[in-house]
Amino acid sequence: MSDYVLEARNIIKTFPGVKAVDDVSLEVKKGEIMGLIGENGAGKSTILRVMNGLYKHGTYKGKIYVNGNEVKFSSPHDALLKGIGFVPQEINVMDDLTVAENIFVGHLSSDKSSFTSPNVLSKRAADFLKKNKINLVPQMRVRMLSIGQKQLLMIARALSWNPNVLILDEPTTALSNEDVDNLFHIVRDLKERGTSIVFVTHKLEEIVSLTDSVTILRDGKKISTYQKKEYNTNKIVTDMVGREISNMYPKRRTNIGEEILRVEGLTVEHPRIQNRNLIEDIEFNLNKGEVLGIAGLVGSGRSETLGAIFGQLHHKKGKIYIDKKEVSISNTGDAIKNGIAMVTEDRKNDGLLMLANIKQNIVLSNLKKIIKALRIKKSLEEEVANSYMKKLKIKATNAQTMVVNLSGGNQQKVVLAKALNSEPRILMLDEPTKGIDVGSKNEIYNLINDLVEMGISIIMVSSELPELLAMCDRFVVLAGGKVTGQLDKREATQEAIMLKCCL
Amino acid sequence: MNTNIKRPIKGFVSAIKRILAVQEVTVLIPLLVLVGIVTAINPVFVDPGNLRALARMFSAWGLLAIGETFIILIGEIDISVGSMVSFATMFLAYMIAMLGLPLYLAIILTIALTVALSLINGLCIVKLKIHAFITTIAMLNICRGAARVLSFARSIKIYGLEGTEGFSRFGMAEPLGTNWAFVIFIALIIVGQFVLRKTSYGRKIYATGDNKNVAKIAGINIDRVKISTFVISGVMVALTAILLLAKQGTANPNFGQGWELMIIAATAIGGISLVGGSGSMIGTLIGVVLFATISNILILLEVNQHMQSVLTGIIMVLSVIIDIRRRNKLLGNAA
Repeated sequence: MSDYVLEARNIIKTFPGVKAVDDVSLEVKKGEIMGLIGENGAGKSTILRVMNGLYKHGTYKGKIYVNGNEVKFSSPHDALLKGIGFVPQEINVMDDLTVAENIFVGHLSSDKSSFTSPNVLSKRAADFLKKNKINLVPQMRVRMLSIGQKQLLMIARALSWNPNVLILDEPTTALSNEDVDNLFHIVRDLKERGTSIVFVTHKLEEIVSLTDSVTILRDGKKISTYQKKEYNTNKIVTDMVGREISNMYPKRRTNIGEEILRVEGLTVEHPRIQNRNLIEDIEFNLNKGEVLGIAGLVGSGRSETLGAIFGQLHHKKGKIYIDKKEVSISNTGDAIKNGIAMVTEDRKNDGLLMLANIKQNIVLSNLKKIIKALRIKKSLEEEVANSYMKKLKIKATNAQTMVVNLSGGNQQKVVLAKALNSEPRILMLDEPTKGIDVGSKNEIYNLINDLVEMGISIIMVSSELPELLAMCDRFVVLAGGKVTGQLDKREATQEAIMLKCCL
Repeated sequence: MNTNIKRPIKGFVSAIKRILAVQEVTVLIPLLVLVGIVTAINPVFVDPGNLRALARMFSAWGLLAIGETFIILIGEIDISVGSMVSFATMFLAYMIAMLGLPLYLAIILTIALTVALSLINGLCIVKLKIHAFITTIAMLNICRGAARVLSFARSIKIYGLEGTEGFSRFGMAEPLGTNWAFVIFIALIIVGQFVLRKTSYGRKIYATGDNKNVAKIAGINIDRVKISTFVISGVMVALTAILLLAKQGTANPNFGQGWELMIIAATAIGGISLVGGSGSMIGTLIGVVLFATISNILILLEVNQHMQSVLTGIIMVLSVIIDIRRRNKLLGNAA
């Protein structure tokens, strides 16, 4: 009777003070890949939680239909039994169990018996993985898997319930390009076998290359839906942001000066495996006023290189020169004293003090600045925080706002403000635009340009090659913990860099 | 005309809300309620004599709670302080009574001893990465044993020995109608509150307890900050041992038994988050007072003494639940 396998009709979900989802309807056809795109805070996660039963029936307004029949989910498990599979954004697997156990957790035993044996389970998992063309070894301990493999494992776990609809919430955030290709392959195969997919992402390229239709949310409302033949990236971006971004990657005046940083033979040992190095003989330099891009796949040693320069990781060998003088950096305090600051990749785990407000976060990197006669001067603290809030256009009521209440983009700006407050000459940015929306990305790019014009030199790591290519003056490519190539702006293309990444 | 009436009421309500938003107040309310009820049942409770007794009661271990507050704020725990007091008291008495060392020298050596022991705790946790619980449970056993080895499991008396008269007088003095331990406790609570709230060292402690990665990236030497909290605790142990011996005149190897749990319970009741990063010295003060009040009340109400232990456990769990709910409410907004 119904064309749709899953339908959400006129969903309204309010939280104290905000309407997170305002009268949104979504329809998923059988065997289609539906894209769902929107900035942070657009209401994507909220509507997903309604559709997968995390917000149970009665806590929102509106109706959910599966195959034309109204359903009232009481929990994610209930939704799963009614054919809605969900793969959350964060990796959530049991590291000490095997792949097979992870896949079938929740229905480990067959219907006939309440016992299960590892061999039977492995056999079941092997058949299941083969059917779904997922390349994982059932007996393997999950701890040994890469992030990409864990992502596939989570998909396998959801698929083991034979869902009609599989919802993937930003599944590619942590994946390397290779893993993304692999994932797309699996998703297309599922589609062919009749499973519908809801694919949530920030990335336009993924929408264009993978999905059959796309729905755009903004500020809790549905803005538009396009079919594949109507796709127009400019239109999609405009709908997402609510304004046109004419200049996604802004240009800057470059004025590259003398060498400010050089590393030679930088080597960091693997913390657990003997005779293995995380990075080996890393060598490159950075000039004043330059943005140096570090490219490489996940696990190629990009973050470790930054960590070693910043004194987070102990380097067994190697030298670091600043202004052509050798410096000794054995902890982060040394690095900051030498004018280096860092913005890490993982905002949730090492970006912000979540129990503190904006002010307390920003001043942390330079407490000396606000101390008068041994005590913290409130007025100075306020002044420092306010100046950065203004400079970086941080949107919040005031400096006393708790950082947990900020959007992803604004949180990232607070992280940046904290780094800048130590008044660095060299700023290292590890995936500075990960998980933030297009509008905020554009603001971060503009900010990078402003900083460079102020004379700060930048080292930037990013998995998004278009972003890296557009923003950097020069590139160092890493693979397997070693430098495999250095390219200047003229030579650098996505292909040229990828080629070196896979060396 | 209506608005004129409403406005002060509104102001009053918002003032109440603001006051209630301060974390410590949530602890203060049950304390006040408790005091009210007990005073109604047994007016002796607010008798100055009883209040002084109360002050003496908790000042014995209150100093340790100050040191423990620093350690818990940073996200660690130390359960060895009770037995370290026992060892330190015994050590001090031994040096005075058995070795005949002059008092000042014995005191200096005692401080050196407890600081060294706490430093070992800190180093094991930070450098060797042994869990704080394991490290300090080992230290608990070492100190308890060492106190007994030193005295062949007997008490050592120093009262009446030549050269200790001043020391004993100090222990029995009643400044402000209480004792020196109480005065020092209150003074150090104030100092502690200042250090935590107004100095960069305090900021470093909160930052490390909240998220040590963030603290590290901000250039804070988190190892040093962590170890320093143990050193502070070590100094508190020495102070407690000195005050205890001065007052009692005798060192007993059973001193401080079970104190560690009372201290941790008091800090938890005072709203110091047992996972680190939030709480204050005023919270600790309230926690210690509340804890002591409960014991005092139970005595006044002639409740079985062992019941105190049961009630303490219940209150401790309740306070931890309150802390977790508060944290979830705060961090839950992030999703």
